[in-house]
Amino acid sequence: MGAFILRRLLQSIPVLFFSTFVVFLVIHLIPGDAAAVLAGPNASPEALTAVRHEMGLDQPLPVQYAVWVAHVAQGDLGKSTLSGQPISKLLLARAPATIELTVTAMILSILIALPLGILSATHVRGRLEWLISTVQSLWLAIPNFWAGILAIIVFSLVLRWLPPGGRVADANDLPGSIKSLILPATTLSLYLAAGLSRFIKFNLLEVFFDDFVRTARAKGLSNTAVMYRHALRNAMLPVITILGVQFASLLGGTVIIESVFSWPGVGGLMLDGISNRDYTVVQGGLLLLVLLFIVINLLVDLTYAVIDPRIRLGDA
Amino acid sequence: MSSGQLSRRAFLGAFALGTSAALLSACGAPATPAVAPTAPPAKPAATSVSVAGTAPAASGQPTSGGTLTAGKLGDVANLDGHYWSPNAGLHVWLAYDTLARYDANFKPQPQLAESWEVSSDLKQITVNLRKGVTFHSGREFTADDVVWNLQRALNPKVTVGIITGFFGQDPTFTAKDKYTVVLQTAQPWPTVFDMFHVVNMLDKENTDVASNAQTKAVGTGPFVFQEWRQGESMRFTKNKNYWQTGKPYLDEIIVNVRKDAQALVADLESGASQLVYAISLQDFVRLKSDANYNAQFLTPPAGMYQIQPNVTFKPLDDKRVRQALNYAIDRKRIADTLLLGLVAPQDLPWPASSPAYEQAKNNLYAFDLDKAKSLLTQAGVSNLELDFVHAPTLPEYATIAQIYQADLAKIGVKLNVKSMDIAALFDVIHSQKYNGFYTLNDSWTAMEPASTISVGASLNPKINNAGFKDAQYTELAAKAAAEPDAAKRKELYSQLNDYILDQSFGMTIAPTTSRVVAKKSVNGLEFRFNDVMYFGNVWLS
Repeated sequence: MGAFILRRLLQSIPVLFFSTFVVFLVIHLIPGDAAAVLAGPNASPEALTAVRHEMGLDQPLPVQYAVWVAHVAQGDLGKSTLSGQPISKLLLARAPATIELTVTAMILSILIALPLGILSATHVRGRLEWLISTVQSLWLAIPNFWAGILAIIVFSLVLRWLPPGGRVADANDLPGSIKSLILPATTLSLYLAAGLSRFIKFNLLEVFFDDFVRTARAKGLSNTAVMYRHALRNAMLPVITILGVQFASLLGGTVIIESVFSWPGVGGLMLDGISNRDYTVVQGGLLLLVLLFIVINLLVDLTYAVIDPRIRLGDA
Repeated sequence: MSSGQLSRRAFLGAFALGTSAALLSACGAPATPAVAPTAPPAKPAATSVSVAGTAPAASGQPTSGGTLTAGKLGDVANLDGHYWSPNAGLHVWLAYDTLARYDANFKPQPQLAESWEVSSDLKQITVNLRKGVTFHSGREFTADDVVWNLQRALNPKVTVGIITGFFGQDPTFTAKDKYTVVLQTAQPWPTVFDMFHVVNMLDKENTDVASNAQTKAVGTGPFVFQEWRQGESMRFTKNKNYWQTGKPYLDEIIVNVRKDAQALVADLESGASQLVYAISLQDFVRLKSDANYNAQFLTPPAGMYQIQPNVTFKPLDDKRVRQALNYAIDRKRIADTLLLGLVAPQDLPWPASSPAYEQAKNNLYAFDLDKAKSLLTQAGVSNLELDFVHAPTLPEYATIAQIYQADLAKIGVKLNVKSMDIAALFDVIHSQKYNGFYTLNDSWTAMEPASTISVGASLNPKINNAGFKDAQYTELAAKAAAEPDAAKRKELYSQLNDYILDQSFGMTIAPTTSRVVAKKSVNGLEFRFNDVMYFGNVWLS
């Protein structure tokens, strides 16, 4: 197991640099740079040249990338080209918000999707399945941002139960922190749960017709025992894969929800970085997201071994 | 399951993350003067200043204490007090003071400068500083600090040339003694009080001399900078040693950054914020009629909605073509529909409060498609196709573009509307790579017109985004900028109006509508002349 983890971590190093290199190249292809943003519309060519030199943007691209890699290799993510804030500080400020939102949304989505998926599978072609399917379709069809705005109108402006946006990150204000999390996490989780519950349903239906389930039923086991001891456990392997991919994609993919609820996450930081051509911010954020992605994938693989003892990761 | 399969997935996932990021990118206030100025400057009185420097009617006596939570759209680029952007007004400037500040009548009022003497030729200004003022660091503010700040503000690396236009020609700054500074220029400097108004005094011991990349904002202002969570919020606390005894009234100001105007309104209406800046015009009008709120424009307007042609792109190098396109702008329709009738259309680049404003010339380019077509025919232009580039950060321009596009189509001109993010737009306009028009609000229009010309993006004769250059214009602008006599300067401004309107290298549409909405409990708001708000007199009832 230890060798497996070490090998996976070593394999991830080229992935890290390749992904940052691709983004570095692509973002430099887009017109405009941080000097142009800082200068605004009034800048003289002389001022622009001076600022570009000050920012190191007049260096050849390979040199700029090499300088960035050299700093990263020493554990230094650099500073924001525009604000001068250390990237590590910016990421440390944003990462907890992103992790808090995604973890909560994932947990909520599992709590919602699991019973809905099971009920759909066990009541297939029944009224309950029809009802659940209709709600699922509705949630999948409603854009996230629209649901978010609707939630703000109802729960913040009309009922005044919850704050419309922002994140309360105060250890002395736990109720405030929870309140600020409810709307964004719920909006995100409902969308996730709609897709996930369908996936669980179809996996369960597939497993229901497998030999081992038929055998379990033939042995006289109750429906509950068949479901939880046999069918669900086997149906969960692909579900865990999907959960892992969803979780990883959510880390950088909650920008719209972050924007609607003014949630200060890494996705929004990177989007600002892209808009402002603040290359160091984008690179640093991407490095963090790729790292998290790799760790999550590793955890998913390790979970396989826990759920299905037949899988021996170290043997590969 | 093999590790090979797993690593491939990890690789593809990471690649997908990178590609997603790339795709995203593709989408992608015056105090009561302790001592009056010893020599009031030769400033023309404003003709019709409305409410600048005044506050919504406050009920009762000011009370100290409380936290004001404000919200604004978008964050500042950095914490540098010498770097100006439209976003700085409700942010970094809370920590700073300037030497003087204009009042509602466009008269400079003492701030850190307690008094001043101006030579008759306007080439020398002796500034007497207020004694006993300290920076937030505890260090005393002296003449050396003024010299250091003025020299730094001239450094294009830190101001990106934005505020250097407020300085006279070849200026020198000398600390005569601990509390006296002498400013000298080669030419008369009639716009010196504009410079006094906009150059913040930073603590040199807490500021990098040659970089905007500041992590602190240390000044002498009413509020002490505490924390900046980039893209999220900024927090200030009361300066207990402020030189204006008893002020500020507030204990704390928290400014939350929002990415969406709707989020600002939701914050205000849910009670999460007490004051918001830059909400949509529709929400502004709605809340203006609500007795729970004070909704105000920042006046006089600091800028103008305008479109500017690239005169280096044929046939826009022909004055008649530009005039034709100027006649084709339906300013009244834009002001009445898009701007909800809250501002009046105009074609002069200055607000009514400006000494350069002339009512008689303000409607020269009344909407006239026949005249436009005739001018195009005279110029021998047909089948004209132009681009109109704008940024989504100023959503009004998308609608202006649609109105203009429809009108131009009636005279056979095809307008291609192109939206691009602000970085790409700046890149395009800096290098005049747009084949038609670009749009951005011109700024600093409420200041002395000579400053507007030398600082703004559209009228500067040396470098403007239209690519317009003409010796006659350069000479006329230089004369106005160096004319010490206010009456003669006004005459020069009149000549400039004629010239600017005739050449049509910048086409003004209407004044901008910077707006703030606050709960009725917020009293004492003051607006400065460059879309900056002053919170030293704000109190909560």
